[in-house]
Amino acid sequence: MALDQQTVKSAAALAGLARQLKQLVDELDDIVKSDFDRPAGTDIRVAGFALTERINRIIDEARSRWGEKMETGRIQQETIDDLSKSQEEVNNLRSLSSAIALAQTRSEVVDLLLNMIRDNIVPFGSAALYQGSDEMGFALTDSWEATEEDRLEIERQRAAGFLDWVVKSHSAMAMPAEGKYPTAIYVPMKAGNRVTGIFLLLSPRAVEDFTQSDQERISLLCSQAAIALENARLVEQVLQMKQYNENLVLSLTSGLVAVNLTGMVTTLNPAGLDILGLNAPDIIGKSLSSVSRLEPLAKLLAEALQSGGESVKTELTFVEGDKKQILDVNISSVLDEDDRVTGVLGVFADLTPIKLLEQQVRRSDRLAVVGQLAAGAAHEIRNPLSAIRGNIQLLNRKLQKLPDGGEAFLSRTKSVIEEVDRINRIVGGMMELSKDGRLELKRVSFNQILRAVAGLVEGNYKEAGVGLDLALDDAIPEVMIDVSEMKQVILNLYQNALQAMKTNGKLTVYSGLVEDAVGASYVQVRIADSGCGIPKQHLEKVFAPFFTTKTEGTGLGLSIVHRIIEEHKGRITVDSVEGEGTTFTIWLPPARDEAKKEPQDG
Amino acid sequence: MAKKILVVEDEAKLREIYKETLTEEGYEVVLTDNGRKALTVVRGARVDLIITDIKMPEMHGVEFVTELRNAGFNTPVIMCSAYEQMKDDFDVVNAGIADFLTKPVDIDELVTKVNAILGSPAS
Ligand SMILES: Nc1ncnc2c1ncn2[C@@H]1O[C@H](COP(=O)(O)OP(=O)(O)O)[C@@H](O)[C@H]1O
Ligand SMILES: [Mg+2]
Repeated sequence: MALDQQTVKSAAALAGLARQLKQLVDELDDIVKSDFDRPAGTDIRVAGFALTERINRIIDEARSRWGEKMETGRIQQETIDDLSKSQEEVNNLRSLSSAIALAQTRSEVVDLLLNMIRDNIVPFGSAALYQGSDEMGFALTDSWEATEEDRLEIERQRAAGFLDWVVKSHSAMAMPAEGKYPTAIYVPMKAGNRVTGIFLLLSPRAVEDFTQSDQERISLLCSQAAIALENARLVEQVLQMKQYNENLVLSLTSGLVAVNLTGMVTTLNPAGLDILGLNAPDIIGKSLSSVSRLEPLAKLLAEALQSGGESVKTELTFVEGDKKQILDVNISSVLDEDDRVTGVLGVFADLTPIKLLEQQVRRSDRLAVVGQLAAGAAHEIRNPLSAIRGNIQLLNRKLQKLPDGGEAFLSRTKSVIEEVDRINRIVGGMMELSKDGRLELKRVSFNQILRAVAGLVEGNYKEAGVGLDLALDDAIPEVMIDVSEMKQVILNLYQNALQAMKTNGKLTVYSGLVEDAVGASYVQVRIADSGCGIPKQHLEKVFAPFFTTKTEGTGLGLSIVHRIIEEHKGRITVDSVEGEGTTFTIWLPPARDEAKKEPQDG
Repeated sequence: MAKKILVVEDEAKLREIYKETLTEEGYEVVLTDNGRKALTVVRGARVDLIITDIKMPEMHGVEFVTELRNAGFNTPVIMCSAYEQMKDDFDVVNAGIADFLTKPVDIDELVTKVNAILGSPAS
């Protein structure tokens, strides 16, 4: 068949179009090659090549169609339309697939894909995604806009076994459906050579209207999407890993500090900031030794760096003013892939509360043992004491009947009785200690106790020329206490203070409401004397039973004080500067509001 | 006739001290070492005052006083204990206890308390 002038012109135009298409394909190729250097970049490049292959095929198809149409003689406008549509489609596909490749998360990819299919290729009502693998089988993992009826259809489709077919054939296909939609379109998602998922789209378009071209275009988008999905999965995995590591560091209750080879802090987690009492992470990028208090830790890390990152486990003590903090520190080195030391890492925990607790437990243990011993021993000791004392008193009476009144012996018998009484005081103290903590709790103001006992010792203080000042806050909440026990506590403290002071000394007693670090409030009582003070090495022992520095002391006063305060769920501490004075501080929880007010006497 | 005091105390040495002290004051003193024997003594003879220890084998002091009261005797009693707390733990009024002594006993205090209850050694 001869070609007319018009046809030749058209052919020339078509050839021009084909060249343009070719150029577009090359551009796309470039984009795909250059655009991605993410972990799955290579996959994307392979996909890019596949994509250009496909587009080439479309162009070929267009060419051959043009040939067909030439033969039928009905080329002209129709062909040109067709081709410009092809070009548009290629453009579309190009932008679609690069959009998909750029999507970061799984849901972004899936949403994009579904929208693209719906807007550009084939309309559908609802969609379902099956995921899995050849070996494990496929399971429904997501569905979109599926009504109850659609769900039934989706289930029916699965039961019909079309899925397996798609998995084997690796290609999209359309099958008749029974529900609201006449067609179920199956779209395999492939990663490399494997089908990793299948979309099932319920479409209002008839099965026979789903063309070869539709099928190809969907497959094209889907393989792009599959790669993007894989990509997104990897990205998500990396992000998750990163998040996980960050969370690990963030949620460590131990402190974690890392310094690089120059001694600069590179990491310090929130717990670490908290433990070290730093309130902002502005230490990062600086040297630890820029905070003078942290010098010991900085030194330890520096030493570890110098020794080539040798592991060290040790306890560090920070002192600031009268506060002491004990840290348990583990140092190890930070290595890179080639096992070179790039810094050192310190993991630390605050041992201060544990140490305090240990001290308390040790103290309580000792008290419990002494208490039990005392209870049993008291009776056994007091009976023989009675016998000794009685016999000496009888002897005394006999001596007094001698002509000279037994004068030569009286001082001896008197001294025996005094010693017996001293033993008895000790036994009494031990029994006090062993009391089993049945408290008769009453709701009172602690000030009442402080005043009452001050009244008792007033005379003694005056006599010794020592001042006694009560600086009490009458707004403090009441406390639940055993009044007679608590009076004993205060009496012991007043007496100890008096014994520690010389003429012109002064005792000041404060009361007030304070809050602890976690916001709990306490009634606080401070008993501060200007006496001789307690040497540092004695400070930890004063609450121990039998510790005394006085020739006539029993060493039981403060252990009884400690027991009583503990039984009231309170706390007592001592601060002292030798030669300046001593302060005992008591914390007691305030009575709870709902506690019934008991009638008070006096 | 001298007033009679019954001492209930398991420690022999203490019994002797009570006896010597109170005899010297002019009282007649009877000794036993537990509550059960003491009850027999009270049933068999007139007793003006009882001084009893609390911790004793067989029948302790509190049990003894309870039985004594149940048997209808209202003899005054001085309780004697190594535990000062006993004073608070024991219901003095209900048991009709006249007084307490804390060990180690001061014999001057003992004499004062006994005299206060009995008025004088002679009846
Ligand atoms: N206010 C104080 N000032 C100085 N030292 C004190 C004070 N209170 C207690 N101490 C020291 O603690 C020791 C123990 O006190 P304590 O348990 O009351 O027994 P004691 O008073 O019988 O020695 C005292 O011997 C003294 O060394
Ligand atoms: Mg003391």
